[in-house]
Amino acid sequence: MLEYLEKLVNKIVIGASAGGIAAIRTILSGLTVLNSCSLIIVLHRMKNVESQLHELFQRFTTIPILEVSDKMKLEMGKIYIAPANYHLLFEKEGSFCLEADYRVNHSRPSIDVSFESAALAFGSSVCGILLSGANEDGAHGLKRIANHGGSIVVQEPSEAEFSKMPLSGLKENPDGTIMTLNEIINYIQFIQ
Amino acid sequence: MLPLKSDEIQVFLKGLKLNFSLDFTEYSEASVHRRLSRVCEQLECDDLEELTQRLESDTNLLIEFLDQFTVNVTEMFRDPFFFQKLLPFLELEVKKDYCIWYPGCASGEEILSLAILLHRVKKLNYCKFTGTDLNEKVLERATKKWVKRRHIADYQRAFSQVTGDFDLLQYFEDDHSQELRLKKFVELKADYEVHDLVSLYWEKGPFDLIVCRNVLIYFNKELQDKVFSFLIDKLKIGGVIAFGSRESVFFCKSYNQLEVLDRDARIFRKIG
Repeated sequence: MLEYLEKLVNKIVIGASAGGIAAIRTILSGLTVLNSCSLIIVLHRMKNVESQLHELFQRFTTIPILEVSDKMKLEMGKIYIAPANYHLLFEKEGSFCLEADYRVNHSRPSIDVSFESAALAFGSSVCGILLSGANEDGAHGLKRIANHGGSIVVQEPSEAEFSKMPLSGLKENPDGTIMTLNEIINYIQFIQ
Repeated sequence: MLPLKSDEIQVFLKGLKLNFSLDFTEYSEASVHRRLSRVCEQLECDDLEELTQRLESDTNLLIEFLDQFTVNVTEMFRDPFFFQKLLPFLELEVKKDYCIWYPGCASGEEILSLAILLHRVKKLNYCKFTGTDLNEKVLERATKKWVKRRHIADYQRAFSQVTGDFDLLQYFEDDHSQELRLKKFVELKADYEVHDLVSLYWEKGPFDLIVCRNVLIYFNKELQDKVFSFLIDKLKIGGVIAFGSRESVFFCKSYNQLEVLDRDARIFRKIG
């Protein structure tokens, strides 16, 4: 754990797909504070559905949750959800940038796109966490985060509702730290 | 993704501006970075220097570069709720010589979407569309009024969300090719021309309706502000303007010239 502290992580990007809503709900329910970092959630979701995911998640935590708008500033102590049907990128000066470009890995938002962009924009201050999912989005992006000095965490595959995504994350990143959801909660609390 | 350096990107963009009068210098950096590395991979260039050399030695490559670098993704009835919210205003307001501008229209699927909806409420014959884009290759496709067969199931679903009617195919000729063409009885009057919003100049306008969804997101904040003001200038007083559902237009300087018609759907009216 200490090595993470030294890296001064203050931006946590969580990627998830099938089974992700329940996993994120568990994490949010376990978080009590989020003072010195921002949490960004990139979840594969249905397009053309006016879903109020941020409102659903807000029921499980008192930490403010926002659905990202283009050029919104990242602030400490807040949770951000990638909107449906856009890729979510990060500008170096600490704001979001949305793209309506082609799907990547059949997905928009794509976890790879967000992880790669976070790695480029924020380097070692990023931690990428890959949760449950039934495809391989995010594995490549995790590697980019690691290459830029960031931390990477993969949900314990046996615990994930769909293990394909965490398994492919580990396949591409054998050194990635494996954690259960409870350990992820503790980790996020620990880096406060 | 090919790793590129910030300063190399800036040098490349300045070169494009100088040599080809294409100005991407005020585009969003994160997005430019991602798309430039993709273009380098697609055109098999190891770095931006090589790309610059190839663009300078082969003028035909520029159109290809633009086609790959700009975002040309569009679909019919993207965000069905947007069309649901817009339509009631159009039903009330469209009258003779109603001028509609679609900046960044790409291959024109949104124009076809709106045309079909206006046809259904018997307002299309009052309307004249102008679609503009930076990329001439996609505009050429737009003039054909085509949609791709492989997307039609998606479009039907979105269409039924807007209208409650699933039969989108009634508006398209089906000759069993990969493309479906808009039927003639949908009398869409549309011109398409190459135009770069960044120039902040255009002799056309003003318009009754401007639909500019998910175009400003590719610009940095300063450029967004300038283009936003330019669009408002091109809108008649009382005219309607719409942006993408997650665009932050509320902070633009000229925003005080607008009143909100629907905040979530980003539909506004020019009042001053």
